[in-house]
Formats: sequence, C-alpha cells, structure tokens
Amino acid sequence: MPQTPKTRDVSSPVVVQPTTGGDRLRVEIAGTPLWLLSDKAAWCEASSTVFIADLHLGKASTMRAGMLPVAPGVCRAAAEQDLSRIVRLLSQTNASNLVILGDLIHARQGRDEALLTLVRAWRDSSEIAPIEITLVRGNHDRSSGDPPSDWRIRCVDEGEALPIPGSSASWSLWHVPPINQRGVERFLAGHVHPVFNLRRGGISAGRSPCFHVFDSQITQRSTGLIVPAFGSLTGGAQVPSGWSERCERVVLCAEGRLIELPRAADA
Amino acid sequence: MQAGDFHHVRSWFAKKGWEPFDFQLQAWRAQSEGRSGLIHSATGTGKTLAACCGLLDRAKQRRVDGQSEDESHRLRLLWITPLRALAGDTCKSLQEACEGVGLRWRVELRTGDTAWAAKKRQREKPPEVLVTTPESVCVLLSYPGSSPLLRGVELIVADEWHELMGSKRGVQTELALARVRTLSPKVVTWGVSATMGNTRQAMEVLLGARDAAKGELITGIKGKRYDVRTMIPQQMERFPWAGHLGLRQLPGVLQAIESARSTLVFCNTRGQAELWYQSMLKARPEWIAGLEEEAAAATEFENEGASGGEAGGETPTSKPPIKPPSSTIPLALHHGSLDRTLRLRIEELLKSGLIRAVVCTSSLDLGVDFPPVDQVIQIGSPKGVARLLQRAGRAGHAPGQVSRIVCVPTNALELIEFASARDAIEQGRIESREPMTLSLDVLCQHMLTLACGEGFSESELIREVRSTHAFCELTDQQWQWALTFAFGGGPALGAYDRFARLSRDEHGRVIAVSDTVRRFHRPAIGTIVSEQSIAVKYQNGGMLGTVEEGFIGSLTPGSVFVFAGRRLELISLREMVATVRPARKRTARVVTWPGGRMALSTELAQSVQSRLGEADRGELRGEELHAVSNLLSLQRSWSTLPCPSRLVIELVTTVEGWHAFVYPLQGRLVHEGLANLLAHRLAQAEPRTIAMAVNDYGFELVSTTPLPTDPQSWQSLLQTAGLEEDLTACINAGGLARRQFREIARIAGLISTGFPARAGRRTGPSARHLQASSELFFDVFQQFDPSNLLLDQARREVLSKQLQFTRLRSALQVMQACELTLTSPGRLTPMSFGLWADRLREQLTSERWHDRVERMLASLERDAISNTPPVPEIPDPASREMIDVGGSVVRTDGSEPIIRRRRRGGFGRRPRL
Repeated sequence: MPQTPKTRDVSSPVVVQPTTGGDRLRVEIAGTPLWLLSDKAAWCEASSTVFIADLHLGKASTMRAGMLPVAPGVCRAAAEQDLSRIVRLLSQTNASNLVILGDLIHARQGRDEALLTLVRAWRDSSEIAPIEITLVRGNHDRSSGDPPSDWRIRCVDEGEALPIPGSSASWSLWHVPPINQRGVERFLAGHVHPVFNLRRGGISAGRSPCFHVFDSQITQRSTGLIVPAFGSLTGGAQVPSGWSERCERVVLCAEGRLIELPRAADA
Repeated sequence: MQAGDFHHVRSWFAKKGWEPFDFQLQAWRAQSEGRSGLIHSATGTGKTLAACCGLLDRAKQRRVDGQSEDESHRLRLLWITPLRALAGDTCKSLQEACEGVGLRWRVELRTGDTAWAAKKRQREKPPEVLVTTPESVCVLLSYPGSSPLLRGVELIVADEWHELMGSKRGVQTELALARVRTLSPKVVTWGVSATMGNTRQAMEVLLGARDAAKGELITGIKGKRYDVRTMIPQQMERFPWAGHLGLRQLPGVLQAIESARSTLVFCNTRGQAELWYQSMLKARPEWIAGLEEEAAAATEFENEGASGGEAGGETPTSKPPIKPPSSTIPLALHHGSLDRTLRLRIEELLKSGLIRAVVCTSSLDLGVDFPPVDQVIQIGSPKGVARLLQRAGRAGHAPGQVSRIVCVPTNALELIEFASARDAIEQGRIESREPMTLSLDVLCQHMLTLACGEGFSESELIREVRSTHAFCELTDQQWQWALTFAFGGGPALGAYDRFARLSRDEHGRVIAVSDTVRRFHRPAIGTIVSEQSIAVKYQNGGMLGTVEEGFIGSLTPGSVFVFAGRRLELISLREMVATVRPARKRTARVVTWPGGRMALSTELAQSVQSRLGEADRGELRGEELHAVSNLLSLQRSWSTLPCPSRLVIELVTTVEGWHAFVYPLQGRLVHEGLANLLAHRLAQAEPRTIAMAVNDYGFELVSTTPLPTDPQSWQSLLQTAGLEEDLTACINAGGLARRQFREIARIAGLISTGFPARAGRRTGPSARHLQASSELFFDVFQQFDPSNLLLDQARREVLSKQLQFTRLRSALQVMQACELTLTSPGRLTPMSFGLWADRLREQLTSERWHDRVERMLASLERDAISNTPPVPEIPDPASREMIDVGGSVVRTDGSEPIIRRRRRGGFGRRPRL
C-alpha cells in the first residue's frame, strides 16, 4: 500500500525533472482528443477552439476600489499581459474560436473605463477581430454582468454543448465542474483554480497551476477537464489528495512546460 | 521646600516603612531636571516607582505652592506597557503611588478590552494617568481630538521596553512617541527594562534623536543572585534527539513540585506544556481534583448560560463566577491560546498562593508578580541567557532574595546548554536586541493612522519620523514611496485618483477621505500578525481558547485532540468556531502550534562552544559535563568532537542519499542560513535535489547525488566571497521572502482584515471579493510592480532577521580560520542522530517516525556497546530519483513507478527492499 507521508514545506533550491516535457500534451477525454497547452489553456483542433477559464479581469482595480493600496499600473499591466497571452495562444494554434469558461470580469467595481477601453481596443485589433468569442457565465459574471456589446462576446449558460466537427460527440461547457453529476461527458470547466504542490522529501517545489483530467471509464462519474485559472491575479485551490487512486490525471503547468504527475501504481 | 529633596514621596515611603534606593533617587532627580532616560535591572526591584515618582512629587509640590495651572484636568502621565495582563496591576500600583503622595489623580486603563463608552469618556474628560499599550496609543492618535488630549503630557514611561524593542511593535512605539513629543515638546521619556547586552542602545532608540544624547542610563539594584540547578537524568542517553528525554524526568519534576510551596513549570512551546500537563495528571491522579473542579465550574456556568436560569441576562461569554477558593488547586495549565478569563483566573489563584504548580509557556514570562512562587522549573533549554534570567526571576521576586531555577533537560545536549548558560550569567553576558530599522510597512500604517486622526503636514511628519532611530536614515525616495502607498497606491501628488484613501485639506494637511477609510483602518492598527485562529467552544457556548486554523483543518469531526488540558472531540467546524465536547477515547493528538522552536542565542552559543572546547582538551567542569561524558567520548571515537577551533563535517551515505553533517555550533538561525547557502552553491555546481535539517549544533544536507569528499571543495563552498549575492538568490528561489511578505502585507494594509474576527464573527460577504493572499500579492508585485519597496523590505528582513546576515558572515569567517576535519563515521553519531531524526519527523507521520527512530536507536546502541567497526554503506541506486506525489513515491525518469516499501533496519545496514 502506498504510504502517506505528512510533509511540511521547507524552502530550498529545488530542481524538478519533468517527466513529460514540452509545451503541449495530447490527452483523450471519453475518446475525444484534446491538447493541453502550457499557458493554462486547452485546444480542440477539430473545432479550432481554444478554451480558457477564470480571467478575472479588473481584479486589481476591484482591490483599489476596496481601498487596498495596489498601484494603478498593476491593474493595467496585468490585464494587458493576460490579453496578449490570449493573442499568442490563438496565433500559435491558429484557432478561430475562443471559449472562456466563466469569470471574465472579477467584479462590478473593477469594470472601469480603463478596462473597457483596453479590452475594446484588443477586440478590434487585427488578430482578435475575426475570432468568435463565447463566454460561459460563471459566478463572478452573474454579479459583474454580461460584457458590453461592443466586446462582441456571446454569452451562454452552463451546460451549453459545443459540437465537434467530424464526430457525433460534443463538448459540454461549464464553469463549475459538474463532477458530482452523473454521466456528464466531456465537460470543460474552470472555477476551482486547481494548483498542486509538488514535494519531495521535506522540500516543496512551490505551487503550480494544473489541469485536472477526469478521463476515467471505470467509475460512473463525469468525464472532462478542469482548466487552470488563466488570469495573472488568481490564487489557487489545492487538488484534493486521493486523486491518483480515483484514476484521475493531474498535469502541471510549470515554467512553460507541462509535467504529468504519475498515478499511483497498483501495489 | 526646595526641589529635589522629594519630600512628598519620601514621607509616603516613610509611612510604608520603605527607604528609597539610590537608583530611585537618581531617577527622580533626573526627572525633576527634565531629563529622559532608562532604568534597567532585574524584575521586582522597585522600577515602577523609580519611573513615576519624580513627576508625582513635582506635581504635588506645585499644588502645595498654589500654582493654579496644575489644578486643571489633563493627561500628564502616559504609561505604555506591552502586556494587557500587566496593565491592571500597573494601574493599581500607580493609583496607590498617587494617593500616597497626596494627589487626587484619576488613573485609568485603556487597552483593546476597554469598553467603548469608557474610551470615549477618556477622550473627552481625560484622566491624569493613562495606562495603555502601543496599539491603543496609535488608535488614540487615529481619532480627531487626540492633540488636545496629548498636549499636556509631561512624562511617558515605556514599561518592559526590552519586550518591545527589536520588534515592529517597538518601531510602532517609536513613531507614536515621536508624535507625542511633537504635540507636547516638554515631555520626558523614561524606559523601564530588563538588562540587555545593548542597554545603552535600547535607551537611545526609546528616547529618539532629540533626547538620546542627554539620556541618563540608570542601573537598578545590582547583584541579584541566581541559583541555576540542573536535574541530571538517572540514565544517560548517548543519542540525543529533541523531545526524547523530557518525560523520563517526570518523577523528579513531581518531587520538586511537592517539595515547594508554589512552582512555575516553564515549557518552551504550547504543545510541550499540554503534554507535560497531561503526563503530570496521569502520574498524580489525585491532582485531577483541581481540574475537575475547574471543569465543573465551567460546566456549571455553561449550564447557567444555556438555560438562562437564575443568571438572568448573563451571556455565556461573560466571566464565570469566581467561587471563593476554598482549598488549593494542585495543578493548572496556562498558555497564550487559552481563553483569557481562564488565564486571568489562574493568575489570580497564583497570586493568592492557592495553586501548587502551573505548567506554562512564555505567557507567564512577563507580567504581574506572584509572591508565593518559590520555585521555577525550566523544561528544556531556555536557548537564551536573558530568557533564563527572566524566568528565574519569577521566583524570589522581592529584592534580596535568591532566584532559584531548576533546569530539566529534554535531551542530553541540553545539559551542556544549562552549564553554558550558568557560565554566561556568571560572566554577565546577556543577549542584545537589535532594533529594527526602515520598516516601511509600519510607516505606511502610521501615516494612515495620523491621517485618520487630525491629519498631518508632510514637512512636519517627515522631520518627526526621521527623529526616530528606526527611520533616521529614511531617504526622500522611500518617504515619497510610502506616502504614495498610503494614499492608495495611486498618484499622491496632485493628480485626482478615484480610489485614493487620503487627500489634502485646504491647509495642505493630509487627511483621510472618508469615514469608511477610518472605520476600516482602526481595527487594522497593530503589528502583531497571527495565524488565523479558530475559537474552541463547548456545545453550550463555554469558550476554551483558540487554535490555529492549520491544526484544526487537519482534523475531521470525531477526531480527538488535547487542548487546554482536556481531551476533546471535534463535533463541527463552522465559521471560525470549532465546537467540541469532552472525549471518551483515550488516544488523542496534541495541538501543534507553528514556530515553536527557539534558536540558541549568540551569547549562549559562544558559551556552548567554549564548553565543548574545554571538553575537547579533556576538561569536564561541573556535573552536567560529567553526565554527558559518555556521549562525548563516543562522538570522539566514532568521529571527532566539534569545538571552536575545529569544524567537523561527517559524511555518511545511506539509502536516502549522500549526507553531510556540518557542525559550526552557531545556533539554529545561522545554521538555517548556512544550510540554504551551501545547498544553493552545491546546486549551482550541479543540478541536484537537496533536503536539509538544522538544529543548534549543526545542519544536515542530503543530496541525491554524491557530495564532495575533499576539504578543498568544502572550503570553497564556505567562502565569504559572493555571500550576499548567493543568499539573495536563495531567498528568491525558496519561499523565504514570500513568507516574510505575509506579515508586511498585513501591517501595510494590503490584506483586508475587515473587522476583527472575534468570537466567530467573520468578514462579511461584501468583502469577500477583496480577499487575496499575501502570496498572490507578492507574485503580482514581483511581476508588475517590481519597484514596490515592500518587496525589498521583505528581502531585507529575511536577510537580516531570518538568515542573520551579519552573524552568518562572521560565522563563515570563523569557520574559514578553523581546522576542517572530514570524517566518515559510516553511521550516525551522537551529534548527527538528532538532526537525522528531526528531518525524518518533517517527512513522516508521528507513529512511523517513532518506530523508525526507535529502531535506529536500538541498532546504534548495539553498535556502541559492542563498539563494532562501522559498516560500509552502499547506496541503493533503485531508491534514488524519487519524487513524492500525493502520498506515493515514484521515479522521475519515466520508468515504472516504484512504491517505497517499508524499510526495516534503516540506517547502518543495507536496505531490504
């Protein structure tokens, strides 16, 4: 039986060798191929769609509005960086669709003029203008409201199906992962901001955002993927222990590389 | 009647049958001449009266002389104490002094516990004497109307200044005092402190630039006698490890308690205190009577609260009715996480001599006197000379009495520490406290505090701030940055910012923009950052105390744990309240609190070094050293004894990898820095994974690839060249700065605390979208706002406080001058065993850890008895390159994962996988 050592973080320089290098990794979810990208996004080649989750735009401004002393430059720099990362992803994959799996804008207070202008300019730029963007409404979107019409973002509710050309199957788009519902196949979701703390001995390599893949054919549970939070200003929730026994997969995004964690072998 | 003969005080003293000490007269004289200063001496020697009676006598004299201005009611004496618990008693003795001198002055208390109405009255109709804490002074400054209140202050006394200095509370106090000096230019400042290694500097820090040069340093009664005894274990161990020997000494400790009237048993951690309390009750079941009575009283009162019976309007959180104590209570427990009412009750009983013994932590280091206490027992090494003296001083508090302390080792090496502490006391070498400087987080908080109050003019405040020791080197750039930050991170100068917290009024003074800013800021004033704590309560509301979120988070409902000396079963955890009931199960976990380990101070480390140097020359002085002679000779025969002139590095190879045990004998903090440094330098040379462990004698590095075996390589690893760059790289690579940033972010107001989480209240849902961890802020600032000076401060604090840069550099210099001895003992030695066991503890759950340590110990003891030659070690390649993933161990080279099987035999023999 695998033992469960209790570990505590000890800071130190750590070198972790990746088991699966590279900036993209092909996985299959209920038999349908999907690429995981190291910049916290997933890509379906067949439907030419990039999936990201939890942008939380305007989080820094929300904090400023709540009287926390965050420099205004931070708000702008963070938003600009996130938007340019989307541009890079789309050009790398040559995809023509973008799906945001919830939480586009952090809060109503963060929806200031600076942000509106910034995103509008981005939307009208030559790289983004032809892209079709869909937003699955998440918990934050419900309170911050649908994006302005000139962002040209189609808003849908959870459970929307995205057909996959050349296949009878389709992706099921969610914000909150429907893992406790039975029989949802090929869900794509965000919301939990999964991270994983890689340790060895008493040493921690720090928390890395990760993909949490539910590809199990054994259990009766849903199959699908939880995408890590895309925004720069997002924290994270630890992937629950015991994932490896439940035949789930965890893929870390660490410094531009994807590292798949080995599952516990049958002892 | 001429000034300076202190007629009024003297006649009061005479009535009491006292004679003023010379140092008291000296202090009064200095005060009457308008000078500031610091009085330092051991506790319980009349420092309080020395610090205040000069003022009282002068005030009385003026009244006698008929100077009408002194008839007006205004605040004259501001008494700042670090401890709320101390404030009540100070109030009483100041009241007594005022009455004794013949002044009808009001003496009042103002702390975080003072009722709102009383605080308001104090602002409107101030008492003459106000006893308060640094935080409360700052809160006072955050209200408009503070300047008329403080304008007439004639004397500020900072009590127990040694407790405040060296921390950010000290910096906060410095800033607040600078403000009071601006408001009331003729005020004098007096400090009351225990003796420190740098008492003169302590005075200069307290007095600030204006008064430091003219300050008078007054030494209280000298020659207080201390009697430090050690309880030598009957059976000596050869392989010491932390926490092992402790409970074996229980019979001796019980005997000592039974032979004294009233005993304080000091433990170094709260967990240790709980453990000893439990063990004592187990060994002396008849002592449970006390506990039962306590529990019965608690339950009784809970029932009253729950049924709402005769108690009427009494709420469950109100003070339990204190029964007139009929008989003595044999044993009680006291530590900082227990409920305050419980602690106060124990302190009351202790004062009246109704408790035989109290197991306590540093929670009773300071504070009110307990005259009945005639014996102090220290469990484990005190790790510092000052701490030992402070604790010893709790017995025989009255002047002239001998302070006795019995030291109980929890491992054999601590015997050397006790002997060394006695040396240091004899030589009068006591630790210094380094004052903190340029704490911009505290400055930002202070700016906001003043802006919430009466506002400030920038030119005036910068002069004021620079008059403190902490900020005397503040640059214009740092000042501007802090001001910008206080404004809300946005442009501070002129430009309109929608989210600014501060603005300028028509006179150009900086003020808070709204009452919302004030309402949010006031509860956030303070520099003590504690882990989020969870209240522990009985089902019917009886409060037991608080535990850290991290501990309770690891429990599931139904789990049993020991807290407040009781076995408790967790029922539920909801909204910051853990509901519990008495447990029936026998086994239980003891609550663990983070950061319990104290580091050996420089002074004590030096004494330990010289003791080991003597031992190396064959001189064994005192019974402690004789008791450990077996251990020392085994160390010498298997390896070499580390001593000041010799740096020993033991190289051992096991299934875990390649180990190096290095013994610089510099104390835990320096070793932590050294271990990080060496690990970094080794990893620079060749990518590898290194785990480490540190204690007060040395550190261990375990590498997955071979470590150098020649002295030259080790010499070059220990060089001082490039030290600062390498350490900075360590700080950036590890999470050190990120962790330090937590405190800074909280003090600077980046983390919204909302209203204080008291008794289960939590931040309202409206503030939830503002929640962000300090770690996130750290990352975001590093990426998008790298010039943020708080990041720089975090690095500076890690470098100077945690890694002890100055001490580290001098340690490296000393080590380079040392003779370097590399040995290959082929197994663990008496000195390395503790390090190995400690590192293992970090990795394994406690049951498995005990198993492994016991097995290892048995095998080493066998070797020691038969004195067999060391077994050569062959590392097993199959066990390398493993990473620990969610509970299973796997290979990283892509091959089939291997599950680590339980290894038997452990060290010293080949593994059977």
